[in-house]
Amino acid sequence: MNFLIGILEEELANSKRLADNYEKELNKLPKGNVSKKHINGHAYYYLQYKENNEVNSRYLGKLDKKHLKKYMDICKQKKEINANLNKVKKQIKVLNRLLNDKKIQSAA
Amino acid sequence: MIRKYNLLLKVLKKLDEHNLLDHLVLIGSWCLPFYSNYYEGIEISSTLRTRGVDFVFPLPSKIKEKLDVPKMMEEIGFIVDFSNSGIIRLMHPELFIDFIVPDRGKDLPSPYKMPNLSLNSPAIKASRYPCKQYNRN
Repeated sequence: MNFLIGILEEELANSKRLADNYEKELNKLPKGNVSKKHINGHAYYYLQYKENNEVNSRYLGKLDKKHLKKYMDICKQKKEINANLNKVKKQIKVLNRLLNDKKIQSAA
Repeated sequence: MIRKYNLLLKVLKKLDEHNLLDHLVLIGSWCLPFYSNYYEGIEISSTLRTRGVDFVFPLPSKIKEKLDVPKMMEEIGFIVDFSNSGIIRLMHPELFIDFIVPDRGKDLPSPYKMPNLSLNSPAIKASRYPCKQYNRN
């Protein structure tokens, strides 16, 4: 049983490290998401971000395809990182629960 | 487990695209499903399998081209992790990949730098075990 606990502890340490790495990656990327509004048949782009618990909106103008793609790629990247980070956080929760389980601890 | 296996197949495909599979050995518990597949009909007892996948680069390396292995793995969703000792590891919620070099004879520096692959690998002492020859007939 000690062998299994050792493996669980190692997996927990790995998941925590991975979560830290994902947080660092997210912090490197610009904040906010791009939203599109149609006004009088024209598309206008806004950057929406949270600051001091408030949602702010900054007008980006009529973006050309190149700049729009750049913002969309960043949004897509953030979405993927957040999805993976949530997965890892669930793993950490499960591993912590297993390691703190009294039956497993008493069997060790 | 199927997700992990499918991700490993993606890793192998990516390595194969850059002709690296000929220069690598998959070791550890993750090589067993492939042995089981290869030696069809021979039962290989299951072992405990964690998320760690180990690849060994035999030395001396015969890879002449300059390749960025961490970047290849980033393209399929892995993230690069640098340990305090400088060892590079590729991490994904489903799998962690370690590229290892065998430390035979004289002690190799660890991490062992492979600049043509953009890797810093741990050098691990390897033992040689006698292998049973499986008769496929």
